[in-house]
Amino acid sequence: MGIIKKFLNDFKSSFYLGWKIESNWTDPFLFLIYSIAKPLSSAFILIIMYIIISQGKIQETLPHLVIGNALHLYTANVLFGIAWTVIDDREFYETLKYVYISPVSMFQFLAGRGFAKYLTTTISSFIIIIFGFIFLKVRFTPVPYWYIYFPIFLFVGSLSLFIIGYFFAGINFLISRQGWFLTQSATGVFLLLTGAIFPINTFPNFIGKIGIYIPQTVWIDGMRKILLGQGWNSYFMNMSINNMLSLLIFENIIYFIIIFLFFNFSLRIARYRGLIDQRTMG
Amino acid sequence: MKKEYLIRNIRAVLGRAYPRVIAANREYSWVIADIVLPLLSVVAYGTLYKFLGASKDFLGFAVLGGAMSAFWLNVLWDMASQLYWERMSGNLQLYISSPISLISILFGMSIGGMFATSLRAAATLIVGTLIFKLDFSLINLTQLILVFFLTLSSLYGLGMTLASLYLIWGREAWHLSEFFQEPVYLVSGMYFPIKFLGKVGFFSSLIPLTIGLDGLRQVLFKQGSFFGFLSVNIEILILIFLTVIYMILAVFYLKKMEYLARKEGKLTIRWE
Repeated sequence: MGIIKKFLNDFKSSFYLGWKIESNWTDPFLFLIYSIAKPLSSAFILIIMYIIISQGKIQETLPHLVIGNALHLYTANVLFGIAWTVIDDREFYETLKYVYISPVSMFQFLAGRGFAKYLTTTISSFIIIIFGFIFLKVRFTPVPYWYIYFPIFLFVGSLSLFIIGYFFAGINFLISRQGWFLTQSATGVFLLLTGAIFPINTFPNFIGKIGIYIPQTVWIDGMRKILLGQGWNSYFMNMSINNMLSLLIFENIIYFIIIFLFFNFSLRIARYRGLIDQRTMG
Repeated sequence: MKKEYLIRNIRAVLGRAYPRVIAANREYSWVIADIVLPLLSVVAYGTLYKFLGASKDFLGFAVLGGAMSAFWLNVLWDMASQLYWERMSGNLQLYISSPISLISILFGMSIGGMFATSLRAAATLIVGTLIFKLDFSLINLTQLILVFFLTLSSLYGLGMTLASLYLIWGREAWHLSEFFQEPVYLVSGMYFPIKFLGKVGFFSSLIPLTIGLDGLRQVLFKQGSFFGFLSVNIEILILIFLTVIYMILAVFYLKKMEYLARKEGKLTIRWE
């Protein structure tokens, strides 16, 4: 079997497994409500907070808030989804050891499982963005050739989500039940530092600057620029969309090299220390 | 009721409260998680309010909401879902075959959970207050104490009711707990005054946190009563009513669901 064919086959199997775990606990209708209600609620909390303070007036900041919050869902769900798979399969289903000894690369397996989360999140994110454009009168003022930039930026940004997800999955191979907390906290920290719901320069200078080095910050602000015509964070205000795309690709490559090495290293250490089949959650 | 049975059940209450108070604090990662996770949301929402130019009282509303969210998380994950966890770990069959009432187990969990979560909520409140330099202005201490404890009693009553419903559920229990997080944060006005949701507030008052949070905001912040949903005294009466109703429902459903779970053979099934 060719390498690409095998890759696609493994990816398809792990995606199918991930999709079943995500969705087959209930009927499709209830699953749809479940998938949409949760993210929509968190978006509405922010929108209501905004409307209360702005006394009903929709100002410049709301569109940025809507887009940022919709895209942060990806960070929260995909990053957590990939990392949680390690704990879920190891601690609860106790199947991680079988995946490990099977001829499937753990890297591909996690990609497939993460992709199941990615698909459900895409539905929620697009609903929030479309809701914003229709009901909150967010004005669609895209950059020229947005229809080319949008899919490219979405794809490159999505890759960054998977890359960071591997980092936390790598950590989860090495630690026990604390992985749950670590990944959840990371999601919270990303909410603060990526400028999803307020510009990163709201924070003191040195904390704000950390955000520049997180790919999701560039991604979220780039998507704002593509859809709304301008970004939110002062660091990228004058940067062209082409430069932002180059920066995102550059950050992705750097992160990928480091995280790929770290992931393989942690997997090897986990095997060496006998952590692949540990159970620490009851 | 025999004296011996009563003593056994009191022991069961204390025995089940013990791990919540003592053992839970031995696992430092959980302690940190319980404090840090709500705190991250508090900082995010507080910073958003600050960025939008809201008054300090709104920052206080967000901090208080974040602190109280710890109780909701505790009710969802450590009360409602607990019998599901116990089934997964094989303890449920031991509880049911032992000569005690399941109510004692749930009651013990509630007491232990309330105490442990109060410590964590206090930590979130203190750190949030320090970060945003909040100004509290206590309006009425008696009302504050009444609202706080009645909110907890009704909230944990709801937790006991949900626990009985979760008894017959399999994997959906996990997802339902996930599902009841953000939507409840929204409809209960966790981070903003419930008054702004209009009539939705009346429906969401079935969740004790809605009324409790509104009452606490009214007695703790200057602008609290301006943004209040109902008067604090009416909210106290509602909370008393909810406490009684949820306790009755918990006893009723627990018996019913335990029977159903026995009948359908769901007491020992894992990962259904």
